[in-house]
Amino acid sequence: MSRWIGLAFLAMLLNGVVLAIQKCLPAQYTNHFLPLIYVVGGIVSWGAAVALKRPIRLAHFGLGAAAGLVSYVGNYCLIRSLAPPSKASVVFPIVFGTSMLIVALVSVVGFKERLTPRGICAVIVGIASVVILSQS
Amino acid sequence: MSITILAFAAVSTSYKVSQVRKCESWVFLGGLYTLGALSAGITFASQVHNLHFPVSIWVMGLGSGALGLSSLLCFLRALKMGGSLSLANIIVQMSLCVPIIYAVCFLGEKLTVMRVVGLALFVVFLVLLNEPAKPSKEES
Repeated sequence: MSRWIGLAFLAMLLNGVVLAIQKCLPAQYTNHFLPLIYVVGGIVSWGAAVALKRPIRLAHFGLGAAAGLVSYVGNYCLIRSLAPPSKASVVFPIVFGTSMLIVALVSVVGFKERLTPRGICAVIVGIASVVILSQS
Repeated sequence: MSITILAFAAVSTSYKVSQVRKCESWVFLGGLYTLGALSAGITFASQVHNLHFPVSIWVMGLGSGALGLSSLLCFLRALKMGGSLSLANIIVQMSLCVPIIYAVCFLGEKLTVMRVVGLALFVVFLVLLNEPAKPSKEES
C-alpha cells in the first residue's frame, strides 16, 4: 500500500474523531465551538510558520484565505439548504456525492491523474459508500 | 445547494493546487484558518448572546481544532507525496464512518440496513484500494 494512502487514512481517522466529538456537542454551543476550532488552527499554523521560519508569501496566504472563505460560504449555504422543508437525508448525499464526483473529474481532467479500471471502480464504490452513509 | 457543492469541490481542489504550486503548508493553512476564524467570529458575534463557555466546550473545541489541523496536514502531505486527489478526497470523506461506528458502539444507536450497506461498500473500497491506481506523473 502506498504511503500516501496511509496518510489519507490517518486524515480520515482524525477528521472522524472531530465528527464524533461534534456528535456529542450540545446543540446550543455550536456557535461557541466553531470559532474555537478555527482560532486553535490559526494560532498553531502561524506559530509553526514563524517558529520554522517558513517564508510567508502573499500568494500562499491568499490561496489559503480564498479556500477558507469558500469553505465558509459552502457551509453557510449548506445550513440554509437544510432549512425546512428540505431533509438532511436528501441534502447530504447530493452534496457529498456530487462534490466528490466533481473533484474526481477535476483530478482526471485538470491534474491529469490516470486511474486504472480498478481505480475507477474504487472511485465509484467510494462515492456510493459516502452517499449511502450520509443518507443514514 | 449548487453553491455548496461547487464550494466543497473548490476547497478540495485548492488543497491539490496548493501542493502543485508548492505552497508552504503552514502559511496556506494559516490563511485558511484566519478567514475561517473571522467568519466564525462574525457569526458568533451576531448570533450568540450567551457568552459563557463551559470547560467541556473549551476542551472539545481545542481538541477538535488540534485534530482537525492534524487531519488537514496529513491530507496535504498525502497530496504532496503524489497521492491521487480523487481517491484521497474520498478516503477523507469516509470519516463519516467514525461517528457512525462510535454511535453504534457507545451510544447504543441501531445499525440500520443503509448503514450496513454503506459500511460494506467501504470495505469493498478498501479492497479495491489495496492494489492502488496507477501512480500519477508526480508520484513516478
